[in-house]
Amino acid sequence: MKFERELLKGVAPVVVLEVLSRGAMYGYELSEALAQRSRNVLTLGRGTLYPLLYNLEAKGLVTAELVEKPGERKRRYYSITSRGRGHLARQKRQIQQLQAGIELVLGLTGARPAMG
Amino acid sequence: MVRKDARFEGLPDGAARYVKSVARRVSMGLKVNREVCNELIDHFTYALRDCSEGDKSARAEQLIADFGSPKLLGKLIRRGKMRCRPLWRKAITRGFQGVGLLILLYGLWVTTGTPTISVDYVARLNELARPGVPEDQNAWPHYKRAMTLYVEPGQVLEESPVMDYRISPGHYAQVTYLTTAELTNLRKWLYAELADLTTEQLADLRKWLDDNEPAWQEFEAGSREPYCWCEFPALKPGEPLLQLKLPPLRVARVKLPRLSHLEWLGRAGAWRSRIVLEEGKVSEAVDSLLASDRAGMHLLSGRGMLIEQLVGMGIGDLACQELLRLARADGLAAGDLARAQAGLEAVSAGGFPPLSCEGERLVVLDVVQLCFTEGGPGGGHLIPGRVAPYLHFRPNYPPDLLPPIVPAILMSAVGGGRGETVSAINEYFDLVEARGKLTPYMLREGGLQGWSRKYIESVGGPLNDFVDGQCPSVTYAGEFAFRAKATHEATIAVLALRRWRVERGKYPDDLRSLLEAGYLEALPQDPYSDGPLRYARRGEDFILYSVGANFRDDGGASDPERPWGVTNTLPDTPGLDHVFWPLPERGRAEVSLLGGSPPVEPGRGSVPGNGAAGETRPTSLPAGSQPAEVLAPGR
Repeated sequence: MKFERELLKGVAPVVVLEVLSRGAMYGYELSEALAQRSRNVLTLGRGTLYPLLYNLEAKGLVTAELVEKPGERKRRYYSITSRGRGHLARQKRQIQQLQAGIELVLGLTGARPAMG
Repeated sequence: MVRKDARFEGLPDGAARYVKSVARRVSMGLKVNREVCNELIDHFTYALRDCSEGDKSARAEQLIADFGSPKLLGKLIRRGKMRCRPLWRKAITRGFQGVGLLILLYGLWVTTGTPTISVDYVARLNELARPGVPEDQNAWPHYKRAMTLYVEPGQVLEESPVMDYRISPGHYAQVTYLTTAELTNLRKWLYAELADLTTEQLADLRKWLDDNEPAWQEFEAGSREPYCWCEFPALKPGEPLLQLKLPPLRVARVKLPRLSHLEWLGRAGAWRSRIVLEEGKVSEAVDSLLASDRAGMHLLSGRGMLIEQLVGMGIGDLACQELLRLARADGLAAGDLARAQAGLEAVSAGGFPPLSCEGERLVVLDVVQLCFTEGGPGGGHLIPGRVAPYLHFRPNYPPDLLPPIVPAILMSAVGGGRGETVSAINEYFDLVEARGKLTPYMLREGGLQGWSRKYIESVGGPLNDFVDGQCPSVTYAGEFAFRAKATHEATIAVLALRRWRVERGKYPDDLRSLLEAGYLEALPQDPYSDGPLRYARRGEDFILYSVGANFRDDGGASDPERPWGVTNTLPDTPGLDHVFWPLPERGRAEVSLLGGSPPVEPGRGSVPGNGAAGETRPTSLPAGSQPAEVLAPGR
């Protein structure tokens, strides 16, 4: 499903942090995980993924390190920091409040997408 | 085809090109580029791991499409990576950017600006030269007409020994730069006689003199006026005092008139005197030479530009040399000699003027106001575009090595401000005025030899370039002025001595006798010692000489190749004395110049240091022998 770009813009960092909060991942793995968990509702363009990761790294919300696992190439794994967890928690509360307000305005009731 | 790189092994070419393109656009150094490259390679590799070989390229193209423009992606990645930099590194980068911006703004500031021309230096030059007397006592209008009436010599004369030298014998400013061959040629002219000319050349010479009779009359009339000052014409707004289309002289022309015509008229006076002397008209011969001497003194004492003074020096020196030749003639009456002497003494009655560079000071200050802004830090800054044309005057700066604008910008950026520059210039010229009164001997005793060049070089930094380029170095000009003075005084002394001999039968024992008997008003001073010129009676003749630029009394031995001893063209070769009298005999001069057998050895007898004023003990040469000349080394 294709969403308005501006709608996705604000939630991309949050969903990335949420996925990383489950465990460290490398870039490709992260994009696959995101698509899978959102049941392909949310797909992060490849052109957005890495710049987003570097920005989160710059803000100290994620950290990156090179890891070499047996039989695999050396990869750059990203993991959430404590600061990232705090930011994620705040963003999640805001999204929940926003979601509640929208539902009231639009008169939406019923099933919501799993927030995980 | 992408160059083979082990990292891209297994990737389709399109993917490899894409990754490289993105990494190149990130452009943050090798380490970061490799990181990004590896990360993207990893992404593609993992994404294509389950594809068959045939599907890899197509899938890769899909991924590339999903990644988007490599340019945009590279830019976004770069932005993110920049944000990842530690704070200290960002601070350094911003700091450098800030400094770069300041430099750019500073560069804009120093390279722009408009000069403020507030002083009329032409008017000041005119005020400087004018003695405050009525205009009808000014010789200049006569000289101006003379220069207009001057007729160039014909071709025959151009190619004759008469004209076979580039400068006048006494034009000391350029003697410095003569080669040995040119100096030899120069002295050939000095010793040339009318008899050396062919019939055709002599006819051409007479015609040239006749053609220049109107010019000569004006020249002679001007020489009789008591003063001489030149009124420089007013310049158009913004027109500089310094005219740039000249050979590399460190002086300004200020729209100078054709001084070379005056120089040639001085030479015409010399040839006139020779011709009429052969006809027995001694008074006329003397008058011609005195006219030249007076004209020379006009230019020398007029406080004009340096070049005018040097030309005046040359004309006057030529007149003195010719008077010495005239004094050598047999059968001269005491009255003629007295008349010539009186004429010379009258010319220098107020004292032989030292060189003045006040005119040069005004020109340089004019250059400052044309090349600097006014106001602001330092009083104003140098405008590179304005000063660049003046940098052609630096002899150590060939214009084809670097465009003048390059050092001009450096001078502007880090050189002194206007205030500092004007201070340095005024300080320099104040020193010139003060030290211009010191003889070469005094300068040596005071450790001030070459002070002018040393001072300019001591002006620090890029300000030195400006000062060096604009201020004349007067080291040699000052010395030449004292030589001209010595020649003038020596000529007076020789005339007095010759008169003494005519009236008393033989030369005196010493110069003081001339003073006591009223034949001389003052002893001729030696610029290279602390006393008068050296004199000794030698049989039926005498010798009168200066110890020369080596400051050492060589007993009157001289080297025709180096008339005043050491010159700057041969600074490491010791010279000898400068002999005013006796004049080299024509035959001996020709022999020596053409490399004939050496003459009698120089008299290096027991000559004391400074004994009584003007007095030296006679040398050990046999009575009646001619004074010796030493050939140049190697002859």
